[in-house]
Amino acid sequence: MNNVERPEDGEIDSETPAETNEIPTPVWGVGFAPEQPLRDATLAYSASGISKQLDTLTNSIAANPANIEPENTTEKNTTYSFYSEMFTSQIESIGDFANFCGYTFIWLCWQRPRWNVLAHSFYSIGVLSLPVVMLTGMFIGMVLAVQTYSQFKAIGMEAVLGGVISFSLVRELGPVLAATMLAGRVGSSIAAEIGSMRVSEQIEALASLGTSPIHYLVVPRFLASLFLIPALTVIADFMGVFGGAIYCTKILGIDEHFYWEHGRSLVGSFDVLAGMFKSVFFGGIIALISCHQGFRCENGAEGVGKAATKSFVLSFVAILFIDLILGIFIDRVQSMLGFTPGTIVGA
Amino acid sequence: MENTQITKSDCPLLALKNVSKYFDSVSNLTMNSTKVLREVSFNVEDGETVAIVGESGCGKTVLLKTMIRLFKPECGNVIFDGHDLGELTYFELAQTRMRYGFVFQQAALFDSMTIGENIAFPLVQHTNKSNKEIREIVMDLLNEVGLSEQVLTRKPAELSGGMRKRVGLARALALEPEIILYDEPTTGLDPIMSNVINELIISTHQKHNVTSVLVTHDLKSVFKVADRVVMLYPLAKLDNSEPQIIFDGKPEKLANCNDKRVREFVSV
Repeated sequence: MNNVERPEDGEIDSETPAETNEIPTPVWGVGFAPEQPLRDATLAYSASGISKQLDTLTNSIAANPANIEPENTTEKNTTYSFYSEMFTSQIESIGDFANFCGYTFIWLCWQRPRWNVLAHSFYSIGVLSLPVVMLTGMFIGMVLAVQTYSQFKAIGMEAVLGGVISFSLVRELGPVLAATMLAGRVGSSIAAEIGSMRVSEQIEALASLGTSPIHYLVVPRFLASLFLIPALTVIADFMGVFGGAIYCTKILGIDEHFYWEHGRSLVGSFDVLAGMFKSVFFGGIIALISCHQGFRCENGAEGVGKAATKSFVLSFVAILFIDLILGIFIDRVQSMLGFTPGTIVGA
Repeated sequence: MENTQITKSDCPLLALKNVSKYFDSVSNLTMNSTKVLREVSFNVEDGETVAIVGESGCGKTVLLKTMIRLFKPECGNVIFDGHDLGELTYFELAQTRMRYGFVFQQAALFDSMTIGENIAFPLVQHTNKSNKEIREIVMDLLNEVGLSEQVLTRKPAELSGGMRKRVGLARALALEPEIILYDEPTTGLDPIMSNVINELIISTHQKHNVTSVLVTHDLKSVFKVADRVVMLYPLAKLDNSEPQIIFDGKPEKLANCNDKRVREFVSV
């Protein structure tokens, strides 16, 4: 590595080898043989009186071609800069998100949004999501019945399906799948709407009119998600149990009495509350991530599309992560309080 | 806020003192800074109409947005009516912004609202006026900018560019501002509509006795509307020692300016 030095940290220039202070601009790009730029450089500089220096360099390379490894150096530098850029941008995003959440909570405590703005957010996030959540919930219940029936029938316990379906729906699938659906329907729509407002200077217009964009745009959406996603989760749970029951009793021929009896014995109010508790966090994180992505949106129509996609992906990952943490937490609480499946809280 | 209070007679309505603005981007663990404004200083007197001109990318719009602190300058001060905007709390800044009107280049109307709701927005947000009073004000503003009552229930996407700009002006006028900032008010409009907008700027200035600052490329507009012209030059083409404002004076003097760069801009 006599001729090519590794650049100092933060001063990455993959196109400039160390010798260029003597012979300017032979470009050692990826996939270029070293002979090609040297030949070009010879043509360019022989007329200007520096061909002698160039000849010396050519001879040195010809004597030991292994000394020159431009491709490897460039690859290393490119990889290095890619990861450094990615790392820096991730740290910056996390800091920015924390800052954004802080401002949202300050505005949440400081001033209530106007009723009409709040009502509009509640309507678009809650009421308009109702059909999709009901439909999803019902199909999940039916699919669960289809998937579990053959296994339970094999051991002669198909009557327990009522308990299995209801328990999985209320504790896990209802909250997570309702939140996932809402991350797609509500989250992407919030990110795209705020993103297009950002691109068309509407957010700046709000600020110029003396209105806080976070107070006007984020707080109502955050409150609507926080309050209505648990309500939608309960509806998804109900529809799932209903769908599962219809499929099991009317199509698979399981006795209704045993179906509901097992459901009642395995699922209690603690399980329903645990599911709702999780969905409050899911609602909050969906709103915050989606609004934040909208506010960070750049580069016109492409940026709006990216913001919508990114908001869904990040919300989904966050939902699963929070689900894991809260799942462990709820399990611990359940063990501490000595609740068994089917416990009715306060009974 | 008392600390920054200066007697009104002592100072112009809006003063920029050594305002510099850089845009930072982090790449490859190095901070890249694009300098847009460097130590820009000038005053806008009460009742004056100032046009900021210059070639594309010289920082005109950034300067205009810095005047209302939509952009925070890296250094320097923006002083409005004796108050340094940088020293105001968030709520004081919001109150101060309500004394401004800002007409955006693409109007920036809220596209989820109707035209009537757009114009009424600042009144609904910041005043306790009844619906009837707000409706009357909206109708007056709509008449003032030459639009009919029929557009009230339409959405911004249904209007032409010129109509949107007029609605933008009506919204900016709703809180009776003391100063109006226009960002390229005639860009993208045909000559007739440009003339209509210029007439509107003049009539607004006369009727409301407002101070106006407009950023524009359109020299016809400058000669018709402005009392004073400030010309900015791109930093990339300047040495470190050269000032960024290369002309500050009456529009008539533009053509006879000693500076070749100013004459070139006017003659092209």
